[in-house]
Amino acid sequence: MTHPEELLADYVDGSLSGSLRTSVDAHLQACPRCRAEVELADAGRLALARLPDPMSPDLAGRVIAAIGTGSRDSAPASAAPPWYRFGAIAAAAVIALLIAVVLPKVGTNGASDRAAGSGDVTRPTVAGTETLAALSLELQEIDYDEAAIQTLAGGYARSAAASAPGEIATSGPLGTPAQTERAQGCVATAFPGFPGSPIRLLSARFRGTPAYLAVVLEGPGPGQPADTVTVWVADRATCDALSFTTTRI
Amino acid sequence: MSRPDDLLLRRARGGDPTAFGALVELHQTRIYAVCLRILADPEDARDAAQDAFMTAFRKLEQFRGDAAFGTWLHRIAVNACYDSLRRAKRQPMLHRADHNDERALDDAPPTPDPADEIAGTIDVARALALIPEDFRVVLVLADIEDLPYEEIARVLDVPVGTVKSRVHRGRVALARALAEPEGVPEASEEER
Repeated sequence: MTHPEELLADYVDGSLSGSLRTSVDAHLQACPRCRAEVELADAGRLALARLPDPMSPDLAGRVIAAIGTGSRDSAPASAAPPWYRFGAIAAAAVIALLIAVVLPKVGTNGASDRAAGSGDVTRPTVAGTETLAALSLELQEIDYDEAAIQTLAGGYARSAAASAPGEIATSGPLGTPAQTERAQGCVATAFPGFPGSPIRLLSARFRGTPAYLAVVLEGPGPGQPADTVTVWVADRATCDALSFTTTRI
Repeated sequence: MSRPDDLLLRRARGGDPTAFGALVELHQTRIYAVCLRILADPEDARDAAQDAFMTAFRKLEQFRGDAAFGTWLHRIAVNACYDSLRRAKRQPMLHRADHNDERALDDAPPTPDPADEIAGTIDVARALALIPEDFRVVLVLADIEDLPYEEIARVLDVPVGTVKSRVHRGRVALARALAEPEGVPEASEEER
């Protein structure tokens, strides 16, 4: 048997089966070179297993910004998705675009999918564009569950009944604009077409899973006072819907 | 393709830029780790990872879905790393020497204690940077990313046997580099 180089990786992994393993064992008995290599390879494999996962920088924010400025664009526009053809506009304009394109999905066709009690809610009623643009992502260490988001919605329902939503105080450190955009997009991805006006956006946990929570006011129609508060919960990594709750004001 | 990737890809192709941002966030830890272990420099790794995602973004319409999106991304990231390595080789020697000197100082363990876990990690990362590129790439994908050999073969577009051979020889070269960090590990029989 010549040196079975292609088999030695599987041998060191312990994944070589039956007869092949027997034949490699026999070869190793007779071949000091391969025997020494297997020892070294095992040491190399174990050394690599010790390497920790590095912390990644925020590439999502950098990539979105680069897309917006077209700073690394070398492809013809025709090869790109339609929205990429906006690549020459400035990053600031992209932020405005995200607000203009993604957030208007708020208040379109979500009412039929909603929980009982929300009524025929189809349009934002309280927060205007100015409020949406000013919305910042709050970074929290809290681990919410179903009861906690109900409490959160209930608290906002009481606050909204007593004051204008813009006066609801926020707390904790704030995320960067890129993180805020990401959170807004993630909630919109998890709950496409959800109705209402977001008044608070949180980065926290839900049952241990990193999550975005959007607190949303809803009303019976344009210009009408809000009559419900909904808390939407989206998985921060996958943008899948995790949970939501609705409370009457 | 996994469900989150599938959903986000559809939305990204349909004109939702935040969906592509979500895809980046979903994969950035793995892709950055691949780039860092291949390039051994955080700045180069960040740039290569960003280039990889930008390339993926530009080629989104070309992704046919016959491989996992993650496999496709890994292929793009490895190519971005090879590009980065080629650019580094073209740089004037003086610049690279300065750069490497700085990195060596930054990475130096505070105490040369072989039992120190951090020092050990640095030694492994340094040793990995010393072995030939083709060995390093397969080791990163196989022993750090835990990708199956068949998937690595698809990422690198080489036969599975070549992957296994490189994994074995790379492990041996790494162990030798760890034992003799100043020496040149086995590199003479590198196959392409």
